Amino acid sequence: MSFLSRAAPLAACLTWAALAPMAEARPVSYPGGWTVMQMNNGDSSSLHAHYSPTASDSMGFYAERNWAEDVQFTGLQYNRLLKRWNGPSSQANTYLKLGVGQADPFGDASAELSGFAGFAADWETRRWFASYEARATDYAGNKSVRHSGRVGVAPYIGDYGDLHTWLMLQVDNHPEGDEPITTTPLVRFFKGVQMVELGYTLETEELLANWIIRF
Amino acid sequence: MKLIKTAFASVALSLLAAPAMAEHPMDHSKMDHSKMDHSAHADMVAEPNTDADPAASAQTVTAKVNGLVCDFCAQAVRKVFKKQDAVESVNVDLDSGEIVLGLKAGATLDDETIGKLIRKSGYSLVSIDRGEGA
Repeated sequence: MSFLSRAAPLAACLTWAALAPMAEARPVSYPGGWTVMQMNNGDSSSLHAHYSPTASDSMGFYAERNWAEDVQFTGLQYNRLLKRWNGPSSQANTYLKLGVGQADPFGDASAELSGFAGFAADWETRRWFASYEARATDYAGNKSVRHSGRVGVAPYIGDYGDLHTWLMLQVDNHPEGDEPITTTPLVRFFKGVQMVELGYTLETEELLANWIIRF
Repeated sequence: MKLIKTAFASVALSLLAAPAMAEHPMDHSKMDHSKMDHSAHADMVAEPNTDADPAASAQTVTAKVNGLVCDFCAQAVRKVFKKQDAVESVNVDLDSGEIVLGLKAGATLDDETIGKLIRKSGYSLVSIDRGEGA
């Protein structure tokens, strides 16, 4: 029953998002580029589709069904590249993410104006990856803060168009959660415009599955 | 393991959504490609770096660029340059951090424009080297 109740809305999202898969990547594309990202973990599933008018901004639709907080959020998200450092063999970025919309608590409670704000930073070479994100949400009056960090290594270096593989470890901190700190080993596959991530959260024994496409 | 089915569905849909990634088992050695219009192939995502050999273009320009670390970076640069009328082909070499532009016969693309387009893509121009015929 639990799976079925979750599967219906998720299936709708997945169907809509079937045009595009991948996860936790840079939230801003090239000028005129579209990105669709669909993310799933033990706490929530989300869909974010955005358009980038410039290489520094993107805006679009964001929906999240959150079972940890018993709420569904639907709204608009704006992402801003605050600063990028381009090195000879590396790139680092900082981002601001803002969302506003409506949160519908599970049950009989009425929907409320809600939102979130996030700060993200990443550093990447063709071999190494590190990222950090802090995200504060106010969903129907339920305020929450999460922190997430990742490190990764590419076991081999592929050229443009090859299948790229990354081995990563993600650590999440959610003070209000049943498991305040969780660790998720994951593997990222990256080819052309598509990325897929699969992981397993050790503490909660739940799967992580993310996909992104950029076009 | 609450989301196992979801994950498998995600992966399955992902694969279905990427038909262009599939290998197509045609024997091209027996086909006459000379009469086909390949102009639309430049934007195919499955073989993102298969533009015509830049050496075959009237002019080639090689730009050394900082920040090219992944396929998304390469795609960004390709998409921006492919919109230029003067550009016939764009090849990105992540190993060397270079973009090789093949220009159409009689077309020009000055250094200032190249630098501007690279910055517009989100990256940093280091140097420009113009090949023979430039």
